[in-house]
Amino acid sequence: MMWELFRLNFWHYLRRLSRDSFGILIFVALPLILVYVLSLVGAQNTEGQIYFHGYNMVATHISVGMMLLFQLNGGIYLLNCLNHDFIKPMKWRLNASPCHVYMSVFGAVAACLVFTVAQGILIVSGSTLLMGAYWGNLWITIMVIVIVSTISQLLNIILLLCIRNLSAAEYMSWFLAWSMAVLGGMMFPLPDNAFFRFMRQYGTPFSLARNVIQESGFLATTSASMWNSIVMLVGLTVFLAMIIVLLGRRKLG
Amino acid sequence: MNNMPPYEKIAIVYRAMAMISLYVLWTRTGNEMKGLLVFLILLILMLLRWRFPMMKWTLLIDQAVTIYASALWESSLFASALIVFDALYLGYPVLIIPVLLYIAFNRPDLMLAILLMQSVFAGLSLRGWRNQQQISLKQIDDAGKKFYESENLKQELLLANVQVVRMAELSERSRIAGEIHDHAGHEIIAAFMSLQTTQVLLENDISQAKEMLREATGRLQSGIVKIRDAVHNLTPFTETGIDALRKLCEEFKNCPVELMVYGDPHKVPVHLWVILESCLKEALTNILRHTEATNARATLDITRHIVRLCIENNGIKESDSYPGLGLNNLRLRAKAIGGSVSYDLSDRFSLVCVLPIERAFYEHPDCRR
Amino acid sequence: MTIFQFALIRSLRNKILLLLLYAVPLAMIFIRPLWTSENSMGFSFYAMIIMFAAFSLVRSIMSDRITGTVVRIFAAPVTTLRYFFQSLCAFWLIISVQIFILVTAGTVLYNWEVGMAVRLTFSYVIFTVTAIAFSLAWDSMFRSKMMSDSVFSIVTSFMALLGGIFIPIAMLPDFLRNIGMVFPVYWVSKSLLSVQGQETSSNYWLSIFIMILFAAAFLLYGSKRRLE
Repeated sequence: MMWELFRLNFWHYLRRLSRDSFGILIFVALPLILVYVLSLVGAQNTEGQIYFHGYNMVATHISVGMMLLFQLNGGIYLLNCLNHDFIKPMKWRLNASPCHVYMSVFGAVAACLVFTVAQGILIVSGSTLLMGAYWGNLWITIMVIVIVSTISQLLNIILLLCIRNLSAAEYMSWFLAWSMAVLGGMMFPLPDNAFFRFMRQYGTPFSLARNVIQESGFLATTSASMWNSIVMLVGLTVFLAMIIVLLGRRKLG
Repeated sequence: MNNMPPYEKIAIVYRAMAMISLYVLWTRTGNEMKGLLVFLILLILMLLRWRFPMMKWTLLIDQAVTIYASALWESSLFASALIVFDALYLGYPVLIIPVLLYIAFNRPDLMLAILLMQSVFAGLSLRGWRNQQQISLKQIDDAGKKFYESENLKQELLLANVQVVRMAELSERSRIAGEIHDHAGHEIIAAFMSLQTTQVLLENDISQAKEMLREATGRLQSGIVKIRDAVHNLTPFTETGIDALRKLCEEFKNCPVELMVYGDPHKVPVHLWVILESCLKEALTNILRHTEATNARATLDITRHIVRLCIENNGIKESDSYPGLGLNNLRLRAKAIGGSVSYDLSDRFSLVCVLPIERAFYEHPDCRR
Repeated sequence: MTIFQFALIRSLRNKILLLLLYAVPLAMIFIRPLWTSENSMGFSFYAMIIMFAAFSLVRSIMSDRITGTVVRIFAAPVTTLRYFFQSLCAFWLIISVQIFILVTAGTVLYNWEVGMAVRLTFSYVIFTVTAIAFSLAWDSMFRSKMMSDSVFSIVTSFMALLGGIFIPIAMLPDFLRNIGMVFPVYWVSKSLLSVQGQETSSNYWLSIFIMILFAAAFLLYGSKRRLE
């Protein structure tokens, strides 16, 4: 029974998400175009060697950052679904259904997760095939995409539970994702002191995920740093999930 | 964009592609700033012509800019293809003579010549399509206008029919009232006065009273004769109303038609009898033509508000045919006075006609005078 | 000048817009590295702020069209030219005041020469006209604010990328520079580079002229009366 309900919710949300073609364009086509443009600019202005073992290192660096940024922003889909179904007047209709709120939320989270992971995989494939980016061990990369998407979904649920207003929550989500990218050194060079060095290496999920991807291939000599980062990412995911269980009981139940 | 005709959309797409091609050509051939200025000026003039359709003469400015820029940026002459297309599409071919002469004198290369030929072809084709569409639209408009006028006329005629009937009734009533008043009225009043005098004379002078009584009897007799004459004159020679329906049923030889009347036929106004007669005629014609009936029945129900004529038969339809013009006309006539005619052509022919009786009109105090 | 006054009052009534228009640039002018270093990006970032401010202001014309208010406006004896001219003048005035304040503050804080300040102001003022015209043309293409906003944010990101805002023009490859020339942001960046002394004076006037041409093109497209 529970499995049937979950399945129903999952397919409903997945179908709803796949109808938004504009969203797919923004989350897949836009990052690929940006990676292409920025790697052209980077290739023009870089002094070092661009190609290494047949891979375009400029494109690699930019595409990893861009993919992670868009994955962290992917929780906005979930924000919109949850807002529409549980905060707007539609919530009274859903409350009248024989399906518990938790089951609907699980279904929504699962569907959004699958959707954003699929988009992430498309970005990885596109940048590899079209621009020669290097993604290290692909299984590890996919695992990182799943974990980062999960973190993004959980973060957005927390934002929606705390800030009941959709546009404010969206701005906050967008701001958090971009701050993580900025602190990870993706936009412009940051001052060289201990705090910024720490944030760039281990301080945000963005930096941790980037470490894992970059050190899963031939770019790293040992895999210790990679496993450390993976453990930290999983730990963060569990921590966010526990916060949601606590908050969710009070706010949504 | 949704309301634009297709040739207009194609023209916009053509112009956009021409501008994009010109820009790409500019990026490939030197990147001179003058080239970009030419591109921008041509774009502005194109938008000006779109915004203010009267400013077609700006094509001359386009040509001047193109010719002047060709001295600085050779490939600017390719923009003349767009100018030629615009001029031909807008219907002013004479405006492109300057640039064509300039190109002819400067020995164009093959690419430019091909481009100009295709833009001439594109411009003329789209212009031809536009003209054709406009002619078709005008023809459709004219046909629509004629149809609208004829529908209006039909409606007016149907309404006029009802009004004529009412006017005829009113004038007949006043004529009847005048006749009775002028002839029989006087005699009856005189007889009444004589009887009043007789009542007084009975007490005093019996012989005089007998004389008065004889006079009054004579006057009354004369009055009766006059009323009888008036009634006789007013009685129509042809059958109207229910008699007309009975006559139609009796004269139908194909099969026996039973006419059953419920209610008071005198309540039905004259103009409705005309439609009822036509309905019965049409129904009987259709029974004759399309069914092999051995028995038909016409039922006339008259209530305070409506009169309903229903014709049925026991025949089987021999063929599928659409309702003829007669039935459509009947429908229109009934609709004009607020009634309806419906028929069933599926199994056997049957027709039902329901017409309203306008009580308000007939029971108005003014009508009883 | 009724429409002018009304557009002015209506725009100034929006608190969030006022914050964007006045607080953000004034906060920016106090960040020294943005204005005094070798490749100071402050000038070009401010150009993007002008673009966003112009877009936010011109949205009132779009909401008039979507809600149908424009049908009532044009039922009055108001010509299309008067309606657009007065509304756009009001928006231009609001942003020009902001430019004037910013340049004055910059001159006081960073000792900019008078010539440089005048050329900077002129450059920004012309770009304001172009930005307002662009926003007008942009809004006339869309029927829903949400769609207009989402596509605008994407297009301005590209404009900023290829127009020398995030990445200096000199660092762009030729192919991308040619694409960037189609955007007015490229030309304001070029004029700002001239003001900062990195380009010639003739390039400054060329950039100004091209921005005016862009403004003319956008105005011609956006000023058609569209009643829905």
